[in-house]
Amino acid sequence: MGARRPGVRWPGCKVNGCKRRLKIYLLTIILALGWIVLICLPPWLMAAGQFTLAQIGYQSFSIICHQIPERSWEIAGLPLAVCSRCTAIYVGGLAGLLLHPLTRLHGGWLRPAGLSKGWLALALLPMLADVAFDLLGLRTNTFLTRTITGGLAGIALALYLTPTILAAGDEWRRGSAPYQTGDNRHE
Amino acid sequence: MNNDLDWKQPALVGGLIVGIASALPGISALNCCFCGWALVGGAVAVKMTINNSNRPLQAADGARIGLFAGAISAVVFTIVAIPIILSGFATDVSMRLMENVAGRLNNPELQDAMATAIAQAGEMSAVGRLLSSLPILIAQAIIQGGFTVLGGLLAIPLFEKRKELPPPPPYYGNTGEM
Repeated sequence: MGARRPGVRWPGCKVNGCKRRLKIYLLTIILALGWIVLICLPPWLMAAGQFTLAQIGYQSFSIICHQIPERSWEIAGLPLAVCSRCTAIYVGGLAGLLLHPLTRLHGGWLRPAGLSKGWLALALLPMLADVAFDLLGLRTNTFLTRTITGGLAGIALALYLTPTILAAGDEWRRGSAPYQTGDNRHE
Repeated sequence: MNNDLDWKQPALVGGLIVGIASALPGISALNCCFCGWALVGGAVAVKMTINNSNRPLQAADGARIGLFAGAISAVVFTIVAIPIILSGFATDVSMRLMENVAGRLNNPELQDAMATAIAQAGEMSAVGRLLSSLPILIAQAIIQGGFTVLGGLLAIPLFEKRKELPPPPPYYGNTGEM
């Protein structure tokens, strides 16, 4: 068995351990995709007559969402396990993950860099305003506003978090000592 | 995780925040916002560790502390949720949800079957309710743990201002010692 090579470089990437980061990136995409499938599963199970499994699915997600059917997207006439805003956040999150390489096309896309705090706050603002206006009775939000503002928040959160997720997975698999380049640090 | 981090107390505090707040009806409403309590608990645990640590935390530290906080929260959440399940309150809430969903079924046969299943669930004993809630509790604990890890990860770029120090340069001169 050969010793593990430290700092394998992916073509076009200027950071040590790019291959490992690529694997973590792909795993994160699979997890995000799986999460969205899980959200879509309960209505499908219910329509198929699998009540117990559908009930487990719906109730498991009740911890993270109000699940008001009138505010949810539907499959086969049945609401998804979470509301339209939550669905938009998760689908936006997946989109953000997929968009992440585009933010770093120049100079190696697995380099740890992401959205700044300012941009994140700006992207979350419409969603918070949409919620606040509805709660205060100033303006009733709609499917469209919930979906657009939620999707925007999801994309921004993913772009902000992806570098940290990649760095965390990289550090976790690599062990303790940081690279001498300091490039593994989140920014 | 390196042993130099004092993560146990922060993880306990974070886990208690998530576990108790998520199980209590009413207060748990913040979870409707992207599992808010789990994010808060994970972030609080990491922020406390950052404050107590004399070295900058890395992203993996954030994930690990979030994971520990999530594991503690799962235990606390289960302990707090059991009396609520036994009291029947949780079953009432979940039955209302399922009735609401069942009302949208266009198929009369499926609607009848659903109504029977709901009626049977309503007549369950306390132990039966607890046993039937077990897979849901486990799934909710896993979901909550996942979001607590996300909270821990989120806290690293938000709160960790210190940068990793570069290794000291090699010293080639004499030490000045005689």
